[in-house]
Amino acid sequence: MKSSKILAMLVLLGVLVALPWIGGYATQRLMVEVFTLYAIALAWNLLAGYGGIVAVGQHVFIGIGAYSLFFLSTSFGLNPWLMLPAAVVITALFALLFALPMFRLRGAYFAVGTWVLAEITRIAVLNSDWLGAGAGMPLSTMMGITRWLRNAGIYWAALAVGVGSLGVVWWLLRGRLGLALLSVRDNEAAAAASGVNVLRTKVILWLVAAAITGLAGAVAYMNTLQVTPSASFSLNWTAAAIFIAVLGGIGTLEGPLIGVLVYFLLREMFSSYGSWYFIVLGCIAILTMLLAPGGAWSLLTRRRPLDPFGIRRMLS
Amino acid sequence: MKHEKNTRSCVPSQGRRDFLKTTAALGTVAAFSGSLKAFASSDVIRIGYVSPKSGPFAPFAKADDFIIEQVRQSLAGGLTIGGKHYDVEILVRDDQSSTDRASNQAADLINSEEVDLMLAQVSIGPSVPQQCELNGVPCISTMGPWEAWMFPMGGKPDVGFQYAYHFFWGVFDIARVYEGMWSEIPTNKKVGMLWSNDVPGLAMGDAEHGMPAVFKAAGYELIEVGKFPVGADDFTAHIQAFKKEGVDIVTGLFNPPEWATFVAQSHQMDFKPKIMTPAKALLFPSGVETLGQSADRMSTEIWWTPAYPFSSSLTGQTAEQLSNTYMNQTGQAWTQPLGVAHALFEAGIQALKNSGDPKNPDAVAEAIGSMQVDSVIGRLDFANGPAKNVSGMRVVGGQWRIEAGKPEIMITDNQMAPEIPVQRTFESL
Repeated sequence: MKSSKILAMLVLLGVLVALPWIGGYATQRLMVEVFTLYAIALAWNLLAGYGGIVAVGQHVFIGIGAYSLFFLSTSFGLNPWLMLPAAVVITALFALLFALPMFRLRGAYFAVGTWVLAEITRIAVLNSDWLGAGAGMPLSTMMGITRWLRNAGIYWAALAVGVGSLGVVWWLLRGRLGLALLSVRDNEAAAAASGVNVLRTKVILWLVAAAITGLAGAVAYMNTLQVTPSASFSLNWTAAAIFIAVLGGIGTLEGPLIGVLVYFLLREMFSSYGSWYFIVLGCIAILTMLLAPGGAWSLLTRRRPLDPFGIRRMLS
Repeated sequence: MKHEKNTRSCVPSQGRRDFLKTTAALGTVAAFSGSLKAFASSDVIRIGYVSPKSGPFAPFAKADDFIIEQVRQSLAGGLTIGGKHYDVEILVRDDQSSTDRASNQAADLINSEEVDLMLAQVSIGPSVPQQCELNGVPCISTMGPWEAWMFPMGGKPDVGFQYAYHFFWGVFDIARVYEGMWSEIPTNKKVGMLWSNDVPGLAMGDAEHGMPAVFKAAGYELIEVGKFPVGADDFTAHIQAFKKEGVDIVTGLFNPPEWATFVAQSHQMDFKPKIMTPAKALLFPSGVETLGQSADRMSTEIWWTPAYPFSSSLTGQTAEQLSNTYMNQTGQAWTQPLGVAHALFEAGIQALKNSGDPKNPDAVAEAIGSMQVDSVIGRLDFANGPAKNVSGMRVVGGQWRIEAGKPEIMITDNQMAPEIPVQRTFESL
């Protein structure tokens, strides 16, 4: 990478880290939403755009991640930030456990299967008294922490989730696995014939996506302070992730970045229109799929090939 | 001192250094006079209000527009507190009956709008007070048993909170009211219970701290077949069990559509208890109307009716005048939350007045803690409530009567609030 590029990135990162001293609480909260939703969309895009795995029930990991954090922190009085790694591990273990039945399914069956998994988990949590059942759980360990530190701390966690997930995905796609993924996505049979372990590749992808989503969910609910089954296991999370990925460009690393900016821009400007806002959002997604299936990023690169992350591969 | 500096630097023919000094001094004076000007003009008190304007809990907020309009009118001239004049601004937000959205709306009101006081309906759960408590903004909430507010926030009755306050009846109060109504007619004392799986349902149906504890102590036999999810549309398993046990009394916590389903399925399965006393479902005339004639003699709790002998500290209206104005202006039947939501604003305004310094969150919170206010639903007393940070509220029992197709609720039990007159005796279904 050019040193000027590195410098620009460092400056940007510096500004983002310093945000709690520059911006107010409202900005920080908005950025927490931006970073966590970005990570979730990135994970969905990783599965769909690079692995060819369409998961309609990705929101199950949000609920699992958030509940892991809330349960451990509230029940044992532990610092919520220290429980974030535990939330990642628990979500990944959950994903590993259900990888077995899930990967016996394919295509549309897999998509619906993940949705069913999310719904079953939601109902199970709804009926678990030790998780607060339908009432959910508060994050009472936040009580002793000052307002500034709490807001800044959650913001930094969200920043780490956003930047970290991009880093992990970038690293993953540049390596051997990235190449294997592309071959699996484009033609499973050919990939298997060329010596790619298809199942292993898919499961790794599934685990990474689960871990990122679980962590993002945990951080998102630190902001909300109360987790409930109906909200955390809500399809709305996955719907937003799909919207962002589709709008930005499926199967590109830049797509979710642009998608999330457009999504929040639309939300901040038009969400006061109520149901009309959602109708227009849906129409935009449909139009994008019809007119520019590659999303906003494909429009930007139509004239001039851009590859800021250096992960595209050219046959020569 | 500044004055001196200023006059000295007004002397002409100075060097560059002095010129800088002059500008600095003038700048300071200008800035100071600017802030003085801001001081002299009236400050603005901002009140945030979060309620479920849409979604399944919307009936609770149906009277909001009317109430807020009235409050705005009565505060049009502003408030004078501690010798200082303030304008009052009310910022209203819809939580769409979602806990996540309630949290985010509250945080937005706190962080972006910098509200000085938060008022909230917590029928879906205490998301708003939770944000307020952690962000240091005084908050008064209502529309849910105080146990369903305190315990989900992780609070303890003897400790309370720093900024979050609540007024409502408690689970034991309403249980005694129900039990009082049931004891008026002969039954086999077998009660079938159905609690919704949400914050208020779990609080009210709790075996130890909920209504079942009171019923059990009064010698009732309790039959329960698990909690039902909000929005449930199949109660056949429950009805089957109630029939098998020969249940005479049905109680629980329902939203109006769920209760309508339960009643319809009971008819189909020929289940005819002597008493039906659901909480929440029969608060609203709209919910009663859909049931038609079958709602006759169904009983429920009453938090407020136009028959309450109290008047508003804000507008001076009696309970009856308030409900009449509402019906005249909106063409809608009065609802119980009308009085309670009005009282929420009464409490909020009183707290601002009592604080002496409404822009200081600690002063306002402290003022709420020791506040007594005679509202349209009766006296609220935060200093002597059933738990810290809580004021109790009257609750009586009543029965719906459908006469000539028009539903009307009649007070039949007033043991928890003897000053509210009984209108009719309790009768079997």
